[in-house]
Amino acid sequence: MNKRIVPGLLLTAILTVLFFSSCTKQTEKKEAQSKDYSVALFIPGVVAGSPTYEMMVRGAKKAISEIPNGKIKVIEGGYNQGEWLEKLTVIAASREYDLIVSTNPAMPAISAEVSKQFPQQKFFLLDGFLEGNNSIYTFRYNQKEQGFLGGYFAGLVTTSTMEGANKDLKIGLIAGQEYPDMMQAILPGFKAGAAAANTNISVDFRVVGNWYDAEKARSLAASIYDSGADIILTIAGGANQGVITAGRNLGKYVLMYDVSSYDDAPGIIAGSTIIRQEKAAYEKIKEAIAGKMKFGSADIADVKGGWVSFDNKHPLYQKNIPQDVKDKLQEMLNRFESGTLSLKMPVYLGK
Amino acid sequence: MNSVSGSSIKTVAVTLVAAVSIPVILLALSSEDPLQSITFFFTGPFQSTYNLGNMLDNTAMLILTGLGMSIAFRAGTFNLGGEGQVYAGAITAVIISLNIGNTAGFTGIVIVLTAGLLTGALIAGISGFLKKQWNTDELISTFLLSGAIIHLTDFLIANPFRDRSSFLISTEKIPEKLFLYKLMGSSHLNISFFLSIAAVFLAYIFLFKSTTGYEIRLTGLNRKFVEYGGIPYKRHLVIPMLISGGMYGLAGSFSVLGNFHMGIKGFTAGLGWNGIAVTLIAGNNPIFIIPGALIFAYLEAGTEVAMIHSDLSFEFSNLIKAVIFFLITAKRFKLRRKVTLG
Amino acid sequence: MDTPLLEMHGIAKTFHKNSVKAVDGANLIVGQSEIHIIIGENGAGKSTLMHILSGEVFPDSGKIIFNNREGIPGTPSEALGEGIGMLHQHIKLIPELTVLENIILGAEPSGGYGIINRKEAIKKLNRLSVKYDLSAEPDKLVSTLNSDEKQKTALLSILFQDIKLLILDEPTTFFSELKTDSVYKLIRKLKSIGKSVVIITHKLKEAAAIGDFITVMRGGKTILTLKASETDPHRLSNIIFGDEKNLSPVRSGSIFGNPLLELKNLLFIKNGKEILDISLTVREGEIVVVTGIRESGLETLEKLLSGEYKASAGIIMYKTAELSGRTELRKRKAGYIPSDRIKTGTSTESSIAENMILLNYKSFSKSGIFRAGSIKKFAYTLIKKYGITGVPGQIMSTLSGGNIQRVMISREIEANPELLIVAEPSRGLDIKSKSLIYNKIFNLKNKGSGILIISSDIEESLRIADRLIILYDGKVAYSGDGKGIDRSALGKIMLGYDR
Repeated sequence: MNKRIVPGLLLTAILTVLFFSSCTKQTEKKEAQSKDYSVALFIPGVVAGSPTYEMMVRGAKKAISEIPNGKIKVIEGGYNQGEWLEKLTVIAASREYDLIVSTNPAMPAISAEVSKQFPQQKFFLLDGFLEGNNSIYTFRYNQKEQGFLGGYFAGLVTTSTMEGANKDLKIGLIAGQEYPDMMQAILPGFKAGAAAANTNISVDFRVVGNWYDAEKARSLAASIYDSGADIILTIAGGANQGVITAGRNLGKYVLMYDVSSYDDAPGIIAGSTIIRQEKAAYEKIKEAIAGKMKFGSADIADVKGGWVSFDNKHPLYQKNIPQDVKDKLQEMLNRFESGTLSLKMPVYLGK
Repeated sequence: MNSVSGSSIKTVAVTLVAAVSIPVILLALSSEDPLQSITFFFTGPFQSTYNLGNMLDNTAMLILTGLGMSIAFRAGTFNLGGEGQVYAGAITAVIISLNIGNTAGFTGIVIVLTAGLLTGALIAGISGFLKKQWNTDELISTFLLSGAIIHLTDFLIANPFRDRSSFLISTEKIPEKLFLYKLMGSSHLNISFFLSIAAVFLAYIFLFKSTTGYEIRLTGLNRKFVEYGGIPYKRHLVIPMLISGGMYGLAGSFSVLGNFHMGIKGFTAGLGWNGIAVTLIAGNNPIFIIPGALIFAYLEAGTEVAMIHSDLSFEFSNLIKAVIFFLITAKRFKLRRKVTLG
Repeated sequence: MDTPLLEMHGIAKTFHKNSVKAVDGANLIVGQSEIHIIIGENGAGKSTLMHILSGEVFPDSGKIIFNNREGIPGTPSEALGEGIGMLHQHIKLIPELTVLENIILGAEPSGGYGIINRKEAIKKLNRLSVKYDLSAEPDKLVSTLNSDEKQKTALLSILFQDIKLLILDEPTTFFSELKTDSVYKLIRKLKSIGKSVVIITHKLKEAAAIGDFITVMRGGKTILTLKASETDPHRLSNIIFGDEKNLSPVRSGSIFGNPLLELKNLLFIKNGKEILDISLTVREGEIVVVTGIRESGLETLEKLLSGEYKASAGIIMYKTAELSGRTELRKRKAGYIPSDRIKTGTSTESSIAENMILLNYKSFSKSGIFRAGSIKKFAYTLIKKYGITGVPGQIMSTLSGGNIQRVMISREIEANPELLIVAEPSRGLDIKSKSLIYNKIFNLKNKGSGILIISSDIEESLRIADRLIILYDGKVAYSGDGKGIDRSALGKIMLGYDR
């Protein structure tokens, strides 16, 4: 029996190897031994299919490419949250990286845990919040303002004369899961924004329970639309696709978050708030290379600073949205940008 | 009595050689700097006590899950519900730990582990009972039941037991007095390692030296013969399932008390399936489970380290594991086919 | 003289599991269209030598020249490709497939694009059936066949390939008595169309009746090759065993005791058809033999007694207890040697010792844990007493057929059962084993046990029965002490003439 297995093994191995060697990416040649600055990019998930991760990777690579002996390694942590701590510890324990960069509200707590064992390891964490740990610098977006912009726009749409808008003063928000940022910043901001458009607007908030179940997201969205809503803000990762499908089936609108993606569903995606993740990764890593990163502090990036905004320049937006809605949104953006209006992010202690 | 049957050392050796050489070939051809990747792959697990300890802790978990599978195999039954049984054992351990109040450390730990074990045993036992009563195919019933249990456990973690202040989908941390004693620095290695090895020897004695083990093995080999011998065999459709599920449940509760200290959505994922792989490497001889688990944990740790230090991607590391798993199972199915023909 | 079809030189094989030299420098020459008998005791190396030829076992050393080509087949399909086919003692068929599918397995006539040409296959099968007088129902599932039909199917699957040499392992053992003639006919037919046949047997008469040449094996060596016409059973027996064996145990004058087993109008009806209707009594110290041709009800009787079938009506009395429905004879410590020795009677992947302790394994344990020493001692005692070649830890499947049977027999007889049921006692046994089993049965009888033998072997039935029951078509055609009945009278009753 063994005699017959061995050729089988070899054959499988060779085929696999041929297949993968043919599609291995030729990444940038690493510079020789003496490294000046090395960065580990820890992705709590996988890069492929996530625009915010892709933006961060692009920004970080750009920053590193600008110094002679920079080194960057993207490490994907996968979807099992239980494994992130161990993986991050292994990265820190390797003592190979000057800086570990990551993004996710859960990363500060995990990094602080690692930091207890490896205090010399520095962390730069996007989209998270932790103050007072001298190894960790966090940089989060003002999601209350971001939610507000979304809510205000949705409010304008539901009160507008747009084709898919009805008389009911109802809008929706679908989230992948409940988490502190969602419950204490995005949702309250969204509601406040909607109220700024019309105080009678009600918000239907639903949770998918994960970040991938597009079918469940579709049925949730359909039921929100059925109850009279005409636009839904979707923050559900891969499950967003289900919301878009429901919008397309019923001729309703979808509002996107973080990444401008009008082209994915022209006419259905009515608007999109955006964050400057690539810019943040690029500029902040440059800061770290220069030794100027303020470890121990936590920055909040808002509309005024240009980190959070609404993509109202896109041709599809320009074409599909009525002029009065465009004007009112621009006016609101101006108020934030000039500083006459600002919302405070809540301070909470995540774990 | 002859006890070390089921698989020859030669078969095990061939499997091991394949399991080690495949990743090497794959790494050599996929990496920018193959020598570096391969070096990390092989030496990574020994680079630090942290890596080494985690590898050994993973070994302990794989020993238990491998044992669970092995006992079921020996009895001629299959338990494909390991994933769900580990997960359910783990969540039971978490829930009991969070509600155990002031029970002292040792007693508390014993209570929690027993509860986890019983949960796994109960779930697998249901499939055994269905087989006994209505001859329901346990291959399917364990698998389907496990699927349902996984969803239920996800729900328990995400809803009633969710720690709302955490950014992870997780429960609260269990009390520190229930943590298992750690053996190697900050790594997860803890006393469950010794208990797992002890379990192997107990299982060996049970299977090969006890009258019940004799009945179970005969039932697994030739049910007609057992019936002919006048041995009541029907209970042996249930007992091995109880033990098998119990081992899985125990692995789940060990990983809570020794490693995670809380319930995180999907945190024990993979342990159940990997238990099958370990059993297959070991040729389902309980003693060979120890090296089988060790080699599997070593491969996992190696790919992990290689992934962090070289240009190996997340998908690729999973692919290496999948290829190994595939080769091992393919071999096994060949064996099974032979048995059917004979 | 023509070049021989087959030459085997210096073949040797040691199995590492027990380091026994199974074949030790054997030589064999078989000519074109020749019937060659290989004869020898159980464990003499006959089967191993033929397994080497058929590609199932790879020898340690030796040379094979077949059809002018030198080489050792690595697999059975390789051997088949060269024109060597073997019919096994334990038939290897896939029960989930149909007869036709089994037959064409590996040699499917292709209709192009890898699709099996069924019509072509059936045509070829029909031609073969007519040519060799072997009927077959192509679409029947193998799992529903009886052992005769299985044997035919296995044979056809070999003949389906274009073979030059057919190896038969104990061909007449598994066909019932009256079918022997048709096996002989088939073998002669093969010879007449230029094919050669090698037959493994330990039946002396058979060897002399059909063989052209006879090769005797002993202890893994080929002792000598004789022309069949120049020898006789008496001389052969001397060569095989070194001395003449007394094949006929003496019937002891018996006084019978109380009834142990009584079947009263036991009825088994299947699909509205009465399959069996029998009454009989087995008393202490009595040997009752039930005989008959195939499908006369012998198999049904065994299954009723083993509890596999449930009686439709009637009473089974065991001593003073009335058993309703399924018998629980086993729970009442009755001994039972089933006709299906391999699947029912042994656990082939367990050790000799594990097979031996089946009936009383609990007595070798203390608080649920076995005492290894006492098991080993017990196993060695039985191995010695029953002349088994092997050690206690050895896996059953590595033993020869005869040794497997002895292990089972030793287990059943050593338990000293009050009642022993034996189905087909001499099936597949060599002379030595046969006389051993009869000796043991007579010992039991003398101790006062009752013995019920279900056997299709006519001579055996006549020789040992205190009471002989002949079944025909499910009914008792004769019941008596067998005195005054000779072989031909018996045959008439079995065939239903002399009712």
